[in-house]
Parts: sequence; structure tokens; C-alpha cells
Amino acid sequence: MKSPISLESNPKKLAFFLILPTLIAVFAILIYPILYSLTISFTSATLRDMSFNFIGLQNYFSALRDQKLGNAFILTIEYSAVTVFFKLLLGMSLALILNEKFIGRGLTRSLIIIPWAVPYIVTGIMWRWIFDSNIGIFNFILNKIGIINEYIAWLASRSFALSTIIIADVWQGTPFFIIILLAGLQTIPEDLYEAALVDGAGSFRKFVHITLPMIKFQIFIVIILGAIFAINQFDLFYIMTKGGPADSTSVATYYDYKIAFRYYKISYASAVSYLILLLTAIITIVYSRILQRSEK
Amino acid sequence: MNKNPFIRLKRFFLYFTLTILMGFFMFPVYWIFFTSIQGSNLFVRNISFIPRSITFSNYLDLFVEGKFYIVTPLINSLRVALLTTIVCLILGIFSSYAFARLRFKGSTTIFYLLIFTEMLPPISFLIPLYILFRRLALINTFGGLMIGYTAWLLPIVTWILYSYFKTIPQDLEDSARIDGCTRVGALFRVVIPVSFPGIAASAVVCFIFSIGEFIFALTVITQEKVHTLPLALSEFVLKYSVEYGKLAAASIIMFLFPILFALIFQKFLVKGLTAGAVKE
Repeated sequence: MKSPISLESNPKKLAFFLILPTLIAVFAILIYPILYSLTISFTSATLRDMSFNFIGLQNYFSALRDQKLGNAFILTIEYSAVTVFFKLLLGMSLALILNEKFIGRGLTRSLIIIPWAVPYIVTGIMWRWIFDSNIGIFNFILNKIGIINEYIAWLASRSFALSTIIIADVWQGTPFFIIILLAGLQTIPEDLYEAALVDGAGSFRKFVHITLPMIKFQIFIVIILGAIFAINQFDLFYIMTKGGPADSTSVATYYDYKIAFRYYKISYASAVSYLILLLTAIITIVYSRILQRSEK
Repeated sequence: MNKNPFIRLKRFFLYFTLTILMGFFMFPVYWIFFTSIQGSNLFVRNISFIPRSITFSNYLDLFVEGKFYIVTPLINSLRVALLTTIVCLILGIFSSYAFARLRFKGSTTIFYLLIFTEMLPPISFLIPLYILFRRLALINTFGGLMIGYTAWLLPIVTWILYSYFKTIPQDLEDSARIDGCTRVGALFRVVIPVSFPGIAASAVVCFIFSIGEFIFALTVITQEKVHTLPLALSEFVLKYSVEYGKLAAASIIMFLFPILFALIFQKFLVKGLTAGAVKE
């Protein structure tokens, strides 16, 4: 047992002992399994037959030929793009409003954090209930105001199911966007706008020429994190549609989970998870470039 | 108020947009609460927005033995969430202090590598982890769940606390050390007490994450007696998808703590979440 005095005189040693537990945990639970998964992806192992026969890149070749997987990736990209777009649109609008002075601003700023704290499972249940085909409030309202004559089974419809999940995700995820964007807006010095006012710039021009460039960094962050969150979204798909109807909401992460734990094909699933990892890695590299640039 | 019609129009537009957007964000919460206390039959097509009669029977059913009994998963979840939070805070304080205050070789590289593990897609470590957990007999154990959550949360906790420690003036610590405190002593007596906001923010993030986490629990928990709340709720949805009154009450029980904590620690939380996103 080292005495604190000897660690005291040696900050490097102290640092080593302080970060060691965290590094061990992260290595054992995140890094090592991912490396292990790479070796699994070169075998033909299944959960039923855990003999790890080396088959080289075959799983990756079958992944490239897998039509369902191709569709799943297209769905993932579609889902990410649309959720990030709407989260940014609504998030920016609310952040701009919450940055103005008005009565009830404090209360609104508090309330808007609520969806962020709601667990995804509950979000899924809420929106399932709202979109229920027989007694859901959404059908009821649309019917009352005359937009639809017959109730629609939104979650069981190939054309609407993905949209219902997108709405649920936008509901849950926009507050995080607002928090980050608002924090950015609050750093913009007031006199910048006053100077623009003197120059006779209108609201729109102030937004484009002052606000946007000043919070460029925050916008990048939310877009990138939003895309990663969307790629990793699983809970809402599980609770709302289970990938259905007819695979119309079977995104890559959900499909991968199914390959592993429904069809027990863990080696193929590992290969697919590497493709998902590749997708997020590309986004992460862009992110790290931006972070590094802002550090300077 | 300003009489300028243009400014008044702008005000009107602001309140109008605000009302619509806040309606979208608040309505589902109201609606699930409404459903949980609505007494009369839900299965009528004439919906009202104000409860016709109020009942707490949906809640009572959750706490008496029966198909909606959630006491066991509630206790399981609270246990896992609280213990995970405590472990994450202790380990997170240590590591973030080291990164923020002690200069050592490769500290920046290790720090960034650690932060970027947060970006790894869960599905990519979930599948191998399931195999490893099976071998180590960690399936269906709270220990297994907590180990997973702790590793998953430590990078973000380290990030939040690191950013917070960076804002504490070095002088504060130096003067404590001149008064005879050791480095570790100064950490406990000076740095931790003044870092309460950062620690509270990390605690809320850990708690909310571990009480709501689903995909990992779904993978490593298969027995009902070790079910956490999200697993119990997803079972309810699968088995009794139309009993919305009970589902709503269970949802309220589940998000009660996360929402309360988020509201109470809102200021700290916002600071913690925006750490690194805003340059001071």
C-alpha cells in the first residue's frame, strides 16, 4: 500500500492511480468487447453453436449482398437526417424565443427540459397511445376537424409508422438541442446587435450575419450528436413498431439486434455492427476535427 | 409597453409560436397524466380533455400483487440507478481531477480517447458483451447491469466534472495546500465542496440514464424477478397493450424521479450538459 505522502510527491503516480479505475472499466466493458467482436465477425459462430470457425471476410461479403440490410441502412440515414432536421428547426426556433425577454421565460426554460428527462420507453408508450388506431387522440382530433373520415392505424401503416417514431424522437430530443443552442446564443454580446441596429439591419439579416456565425460551433455539435443519437436509436423502434410493418421501420441498429438475438447469428451481427461503427466513426472524426479546431 | 405596431406584431408572433411549440412538448406529458387518473371508460370515441371523473385505482393496481405489480422492478431500478450513480461519481471525480489538475504524459490523448468512447454505438459492444457476461455468469445480475452502466457513463461524467474543475481557480487549492493540506486532502476539502453544481449535474445524468436504460437491460436480463422498470413496462406493452390507464400510471411512476431531479437541478444540469459546447 502506497502512502499518500509518496503519491503526494509524485503527481504522475497519483494521476495514474486516480484514472486507473475509469480506464479499466472503459477498457473492459467498451473497448475489449469491440475488439473481441471483430474476431467474432470473422467466424461462423451462432449463439447455439459457439464454435468459432474462421471464415474470413464471408460475413462482410454477405452483408454487402443483404438486401434487407441495405434497406436498413437507407432507413437509418433517412431517419437520422429527418430527426436532426426537425430537432434543429424546432430547437433553433425555441432557443431564439427563449433568448428573448418575455413574461414566463424562466418557467418555460424549466419546463422545456422535461421531455429530455423522460425515459425513451415512456416516450414510446406516450406516442403509441396518442397514435392509437381506435382510441388515440390524434385520430380523434383529425377526425373532429375533418381531415380524416376514417381512423388510421398509424403505427401499423407502412407509410406512416416511421413518421410516428420520428415525431416521438423529435419530441424527446429537441430539448437537448435547445439547451446547447441557447447556451450558444447567450454568449453573443448584446452590443453586436446594437451595432447592427445602428446600421439598420433587419431581424433576418441580424440572424444570418450575427447569430448564425456566432453559434456555428453549437450548431455543428447538435447536428453531429443528433446524428449519432439517431443511428443508435433502438428503444423507440422496439416499443412502438418492432421494426414493422413489413420492415418499414427496421433501421440498421434494430435489424442488427434482431440478427443477434432473434436469429442468434452473432458472427454476422458482429460484422453488421462493424458497419454501423464505421458510419458513426466517420461522423465522429468530423466531430473531433471541429472540437480540436475550437480548442485552438 | 412599446406602441410600435411592428414590435407588437413581433411580440404576438413570438407568443404564438411559443404557445404552439410548448403545446407540442407539454401535451404528451399532460395526456399521459390525464389518462392515468381518468376514471370513466377510456374506450369511447368521444374524448374529453378534462377528466370526467378522477380515480387512483390505476396507481393502486401497480402496488398490489397482480399482473401490473411494479414494486419489484421499481425497487430493482432504484437500487441499480442509485448504486451506479454513486460509483460513477466516485470514479469520475478521481479521473476528472487527474485530467484537470495533474499534468502527465499523454493526458490529453487519453482524455480525448476516453471521451470518444461515448460515441461508440452500443450495439457494437452489446453483442460481444452478452457472450462475455454469459461466460462470467453476469447475466441476470444487478452487478452485471451496474458494471455496464458505470463504464458507459464514466466518459460523460469525466467530461462534465473535468469542465467544472477547470472553472475552479487554482489559487483556492493552492492556499489550502499552503495551509498544510495534501493534494488529496485539498481535493476532498476544497475542490469537491465547491464543485457541488458539477457533481449534482453528473449525478442527475447518471440517475436518469440508468433508470431509463433499455437495450442493455433487455440483453442481459432475462428473468422477471430481476427486471428493471423499462423491461417491466415493455412487457406490459407487449402483453396488455390496450390497458392504457395502467400503462399511463406506470409511466408516471417511472418518470417521476427523473423529471423531479431534472427540474430541481435544472440550472446545474444545463451548465453540465453545455460543458464544452460553450467557450467561456
